[in-house]
Amino acid sequence: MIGAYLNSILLFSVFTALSNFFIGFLVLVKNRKGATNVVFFIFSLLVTLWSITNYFSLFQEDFVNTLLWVRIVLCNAALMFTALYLLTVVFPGSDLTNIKRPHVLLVGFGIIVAVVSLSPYVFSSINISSVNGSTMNFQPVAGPLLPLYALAVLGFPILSILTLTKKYRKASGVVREQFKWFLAGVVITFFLTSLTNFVLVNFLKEASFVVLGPFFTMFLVGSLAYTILRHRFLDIRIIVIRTVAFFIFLALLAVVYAVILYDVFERITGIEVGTTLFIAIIALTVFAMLTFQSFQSAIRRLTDRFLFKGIYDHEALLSRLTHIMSNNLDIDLLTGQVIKVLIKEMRISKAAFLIINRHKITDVKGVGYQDHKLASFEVERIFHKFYGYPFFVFEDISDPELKELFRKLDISVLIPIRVEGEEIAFLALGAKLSGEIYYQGDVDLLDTFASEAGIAIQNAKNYSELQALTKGLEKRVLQRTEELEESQKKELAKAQEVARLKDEFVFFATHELRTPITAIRGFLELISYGAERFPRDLKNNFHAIVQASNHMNTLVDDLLEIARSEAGTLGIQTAPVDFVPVINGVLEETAPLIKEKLIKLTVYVPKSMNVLCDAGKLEEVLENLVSNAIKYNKEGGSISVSAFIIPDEKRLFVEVRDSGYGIPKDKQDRVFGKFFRALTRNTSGVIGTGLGLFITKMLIEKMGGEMAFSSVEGAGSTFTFTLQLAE
Amino acid sequence: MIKHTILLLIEDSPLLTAMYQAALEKAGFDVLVAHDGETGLSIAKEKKPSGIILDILMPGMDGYEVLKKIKEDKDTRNAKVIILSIVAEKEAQEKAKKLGAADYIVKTDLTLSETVEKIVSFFHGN
Repeated sequence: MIGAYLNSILLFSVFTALSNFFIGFLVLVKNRKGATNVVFFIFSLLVTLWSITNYFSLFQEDFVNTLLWVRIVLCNAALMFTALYLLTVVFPGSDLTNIKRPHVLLVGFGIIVAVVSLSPYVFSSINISSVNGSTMNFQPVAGPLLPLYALAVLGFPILSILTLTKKYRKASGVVREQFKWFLAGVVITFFLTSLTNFVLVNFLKEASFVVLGPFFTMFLVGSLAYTILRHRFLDIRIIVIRTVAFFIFLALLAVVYAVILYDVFERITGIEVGTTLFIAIIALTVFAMLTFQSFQSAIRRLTDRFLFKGIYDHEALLSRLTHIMSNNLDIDLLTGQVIKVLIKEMRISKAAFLIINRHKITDVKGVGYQDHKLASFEVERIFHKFYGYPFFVFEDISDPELKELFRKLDISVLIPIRVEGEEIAFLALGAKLSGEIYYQGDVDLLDTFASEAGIAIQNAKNYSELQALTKGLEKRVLQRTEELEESQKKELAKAQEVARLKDEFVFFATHELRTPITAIRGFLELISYGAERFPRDLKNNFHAIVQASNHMNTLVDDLLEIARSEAGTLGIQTAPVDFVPVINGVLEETAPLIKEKLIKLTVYVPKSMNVLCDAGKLEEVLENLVSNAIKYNKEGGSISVSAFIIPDEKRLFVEVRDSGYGIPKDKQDRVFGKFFRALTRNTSGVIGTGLGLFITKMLIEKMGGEMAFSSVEGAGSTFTFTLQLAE
Repeated sequence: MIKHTILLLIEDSPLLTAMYQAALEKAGFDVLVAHDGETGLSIAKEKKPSGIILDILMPGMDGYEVLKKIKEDKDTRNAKVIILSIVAEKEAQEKAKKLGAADYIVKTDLTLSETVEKIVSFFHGN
């Protein structure tokens, strides 16, 4: 009964150990570099070892060994708990470098405790109480550092639980579930194992339950397994499922195999195979079966490399080549990548594309060949003989000249690439590195490739031609644009010169005109000093001449202004100008005339208003409008000048209204035209050039404003204009 | 009083020089006349007038050049130069002032008597 009990314990221990190791191993395989994975593996390894060492510690035959193994178990346990703690700190991250100092120190402490536990300072000895068959019952004797050990062995699990709890609280969703199960497994296992392996042993001096310790790790394993499968814990579900199936099958095989061996061996040799040996055999069998496959393929890979043999996957290669061809429009990239792949996969020494344009080799793109040798006339001539053939394999060539050429150039296979029956390229391949010939399979693959390659290469060629064309076109467009700009600049300069000359002409013309006019007026003035003494007739004639000369003067000024405006050389400078002083100035100047005609003047110009205009021209405009209002007014009539702001439009609105003779309706459409005179019966004596309003409107418009009028014959006229307000 | 202040009138139009000469002499000045820049400069050097009435638009040396030369020559630089021109542009006036003109009268802005008055007040009014 004890035997069966012990054997079942043994089986359980083995099973526990294997499962723990298995899960840990899979996690490591999933990601060799992840911190969590690595630490988890270490932890599971230590758990596995603990199962083993725990078992061994109970079945030793003498005192010394028992003590030794007990100490080993202690060390193991300490390391295990340290690893557990580290795992909870690191989980679920993948970076070991971020661990904070306190954690590192704690881990160090754990390791030190583990080492110390091998010494007499923790368990100084054991008292063997009884021997039951092959098991020993013993109680440990506490050493001076036992409290320290106790601290570690209790402290780490507690810390682990705390850390896990904290992380569990912070997590959400599936991760939370994972943490829950992980945490539960740890808590239960810890609780139970500490009970049997620590509490009972130390406080009740009962060591017989120690054996159950490893069994409790099944809770941890079980919960981990559950969360792996259910919640994809550490993402190894698929690997687990696949490997479990594999292992179960393998385990069954191993067991069957081992049992047979056991039985046969016993029968043949009569030697009884001990329990230990039995276990060892099973373990070795499983190990051998697991590793055989990978061992074999590793050796094969090694020798392949050495011998350059290597069967490549035809379909994979073809698909790869197709992929390259459909993804590249640039002919260099296309050929380069294809050649790279061919050389690598088919393990050949050299390869090259010869690009053909109208039977001439225009380009050679390859690796391993000396390009110029391939692109010679010799090659062209000989190849020319064989246009139309599907492909050339060196061994099968009958024509001696071609064969010699192939040998000289080191070509083993030459594959023409055609589009619509015409060759556009050749693919030349050197010998295989392994020395083998090109098999039918190889040639078939190359043939299939060739037909696809034709289109791809053609496209690439067309594309590069298109690019060259586009570039050429771009260049020409740029050139033309430049030329156009140049000529436009010249035109502009010419136009400006013409305007300048026109202006110069006008200017000098008026200057010439002015001189005699000024002279006439000047002399008239000199004469006028004595004019009082003239007889009546002479006086009248004299005044007439004075008037005429004044008229001429004004006319010349007006003409100059108009000519300048039309040539675009009238220098109008817009700046903020206060309207009020200007209008006041004008009214002051015209005051004598107003007084003379007994005109009533009302001015409504509120405060200062800044408008954007040319001060001088504004003065001219106002002078013209006011003087018109005076000239065409009746004796004792009225003039009103008002200005106000139009808020929405940010403009100044100015109005000059007179109660004069107005403008006849049939003449109103010509008011702003050149040489317009509003001459009626009553205003026939009015002096004017007829250019005033034309110039006024011109000036207002040049300053960004608008001009308008309204008039009723016999009642009066109103002239208005607007100007932009300055900010 | 306005005793014999010597003015040099440099103006290319004989019509105008006759006109101004008459008016200025009536106002009490001694008036010398030159019809171009060169002659003007040599007369200025010789007679050293107190004032020079200078036109801008002249064939050969224009008024600005003459002005510059007047101011460069130690014999003539003390004369007060008044520009009398039909050119009304502000830039022209500034240019003249920069070159050393004492004043600028636009011919066409003023009547003859106004012009003369201005010159009189300039030389004897300050």
